[in-house]
Amino acid sequence: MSTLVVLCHPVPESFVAAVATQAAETLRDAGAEPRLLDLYADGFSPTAASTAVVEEHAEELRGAEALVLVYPTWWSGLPAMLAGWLEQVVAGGSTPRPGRPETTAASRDLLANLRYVAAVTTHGSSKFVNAVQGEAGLHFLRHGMHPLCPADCRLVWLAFHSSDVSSMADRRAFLARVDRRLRRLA
Amino acid sequence: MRVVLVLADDPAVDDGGLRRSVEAALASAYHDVDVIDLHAGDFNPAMTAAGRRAYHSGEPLVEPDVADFGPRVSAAEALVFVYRASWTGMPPRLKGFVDRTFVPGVGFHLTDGKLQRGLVGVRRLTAIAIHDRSRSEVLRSRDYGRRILLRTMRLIVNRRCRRRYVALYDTRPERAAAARRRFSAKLDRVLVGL
Repeated sequence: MSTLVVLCHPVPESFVAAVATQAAETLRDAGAEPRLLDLYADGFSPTAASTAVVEEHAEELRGAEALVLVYPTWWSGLPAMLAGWLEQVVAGGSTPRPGRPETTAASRDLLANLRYVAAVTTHGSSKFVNAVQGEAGLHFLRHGMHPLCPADCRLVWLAFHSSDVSSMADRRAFLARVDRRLRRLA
Repeated sequence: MRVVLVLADDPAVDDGGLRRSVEAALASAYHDVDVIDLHAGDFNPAMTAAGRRAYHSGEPLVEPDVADFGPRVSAAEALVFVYRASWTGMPPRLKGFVDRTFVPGVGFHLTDGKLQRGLVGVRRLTAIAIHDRSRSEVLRSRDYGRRILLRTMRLIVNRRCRRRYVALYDTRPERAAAARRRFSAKLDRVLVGL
């Protein structure tokens, strides 16, 4: 099962980057042919990516049977970089489409092969604070993007809370959890 | 009232003079307006590596394109966000502004992982959104742009902050006339009455 892993974090030595490395390693080990896309390392532009880049990424997504998004949750939502990637690659740009957007069909077509979408994300604050804040990122994936995926596509949510006060042991435990979960899915 | 107006609408798109009417409404009530236009200048919405490394350092606004945003939002009594929705939430440009501006030392203070309010002078939060999609579709996705601007942000502004949301849904021309009138009327009411 070919898998597209999208990493979105500016700092290469961050915990989020380590999570993406772990995810790719697990998937490779399980024979899921991961392809790692590092948006920052590739210098992707969240608002003005070239058509060639967008098409290349869209092609990768079309060929993928699973999509793993690895990112930090900032202000309870997706970072601007990942939001920009999804807007340009999946939603087909920011030009307005009043009423029911015709690109919904194009987005569906792009996501048609997906068997699962996994969001692997870190939160600085606790689960409680995130619930108070409204969990915008989760709602975007569950109610904005997941409905565009095929009916039997699963949405997997793997969240690491309280990263601001986490210990090394907490982080290792999360890496192990990511490993277990993705291995089961692959 | 000292208003910081954050513009993340799309200047390339005809939205019935939204920007003009927002500015006119604010001017008519003699508000002191500081405009941050995210389409002007060289604002980069993506958090940078240097910015992220400096995040917990006490001096987080290291990049020149966001350096003056800190003092500007700190001086505000009202924050007004204007945006055209991407999917059903904030456009990346506005999310980038939030990510990069409301950092520790500006938006909030972190002590032992506990959050303390940073913008206690802000007593009004207003979001003005234009959605291409219908209201039911926006509500189905839990209007997550509104959630971030009016609910998550609530944790860092003054405890008694008043929050207002003014939105126009479904911008198809044949649907929009009456809705647009109601939208403009509410926009005037909310902005004049800040």
